[in-house]
Amino acid sequence: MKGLLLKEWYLLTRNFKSMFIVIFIFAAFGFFYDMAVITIVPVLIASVPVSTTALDERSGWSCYADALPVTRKNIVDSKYISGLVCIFCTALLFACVNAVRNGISASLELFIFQISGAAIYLSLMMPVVLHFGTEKARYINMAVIAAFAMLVTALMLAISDTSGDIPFRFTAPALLAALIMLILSEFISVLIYMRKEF
Amino acid sequence: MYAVKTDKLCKRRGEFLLDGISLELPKGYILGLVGENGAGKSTFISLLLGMLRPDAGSISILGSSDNSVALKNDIGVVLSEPFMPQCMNASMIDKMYTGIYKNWQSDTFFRYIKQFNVPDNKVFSALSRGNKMKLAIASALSHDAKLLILDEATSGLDPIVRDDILDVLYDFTSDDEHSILISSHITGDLERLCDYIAFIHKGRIILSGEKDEICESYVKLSCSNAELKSLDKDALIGVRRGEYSDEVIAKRNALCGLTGAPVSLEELFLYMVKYGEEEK
Repeated sequence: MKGLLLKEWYLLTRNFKSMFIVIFIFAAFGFFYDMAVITIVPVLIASVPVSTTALDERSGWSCYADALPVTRKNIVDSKYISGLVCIFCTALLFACVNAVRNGISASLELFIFQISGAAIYLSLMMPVVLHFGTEKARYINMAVIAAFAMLVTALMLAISDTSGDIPFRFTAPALLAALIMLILSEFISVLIYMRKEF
Repeated sequence: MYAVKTDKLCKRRGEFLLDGISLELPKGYILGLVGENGAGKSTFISLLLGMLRPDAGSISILGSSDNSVALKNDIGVVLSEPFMPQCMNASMIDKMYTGIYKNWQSDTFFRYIKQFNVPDNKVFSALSRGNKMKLAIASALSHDAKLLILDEATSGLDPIVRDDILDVLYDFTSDDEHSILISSHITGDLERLCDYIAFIHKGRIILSGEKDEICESYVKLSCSNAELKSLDKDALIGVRRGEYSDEVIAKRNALCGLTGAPVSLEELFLYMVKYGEEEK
């Protein structure tokens, strides 16, 4: 597992430099201006495991990894773990930026909400990508991101209080929903991956 | 004890059928798989490695049939296409494998990298096909594997490097616990390296056995039409028709007084598959 996570790290740092630069630009903008779009950035980052799976497919690694002393569950889990780490780090960065502007309490709620949203997106996409392959799943991915952006914006507008902050009572259910979906998603993804032939 | 043993292994993939492959590779020996493109060599190897599930039949590797992580620690693999994340260089690959293989040996890996002249600072995508193959072979040899499974591992390499690698592979089996299963188009390599040979054609094994025994059992001869007719039909492997005489590969024990020359694996395979089928 350690080797697989290291491989994910190399893929991330070598192939997604521009994405990290964009995150920092967004974070810098978020420091000076209130930008609603920032809420959705961790969701975009959650698509990184989808992209690394595409790289694995293109390089033939998905096939070769099956000959290595790792289980298929390890391979699937490495994608989830790397995705969650990316989500956590990005959400934390934005939470820190937000904390400077709006205080710690509001940032914590946004942080949990962002993590939950991004984790739900990851939970939805990973089984789809592993089942259909990244090529076929591309259009589903775009549709899910668009639907997600609309849903999150609508939800934020619906539940935000007059100050624009997310009331704390919504963060716990969001986190719980994300957790349940992650566990279910990982279970389904492992089942899908176990049945695959290369 | 067998390093690899398959029994009536079957797999259908679309139109193609791998049909009842039964092969045995004793521990400490090298088995060469010879076959044309699409004959089923890679499908067979994918079945051995658990990338494909067999429709029927059984597989036993190093006495185990469960394809576990522990078993895969004992297998070194080089596939026909060197698959590695494109952005990684030798040093990154070393660190990654340290976290994957139980017995990964960095010093051995870098010794082979140096011996094979693979640039260790270039990322995988920037390497030539030959260097990618060499890096994959170095990886397969650096974790104390008991069995090497090599699918077209020497293709794309120049003759000098191929010669070096064949020497390394030969040394590998000097340990009685070490075995190699290798598929290749380059029958000359297999002729030099292997103890056992299996010909695979259209998903079926058409000939298998000890290499020396196979080579001694067949001869090549030029003969007239009359001489050809005097040969036992069942003993004929293939006939290449000529204007004045025919070139024939036949079983040595059916020559009826005719004399023949030794036959190479390539000739034997060619006559079995091409001229044997034409004759039928």
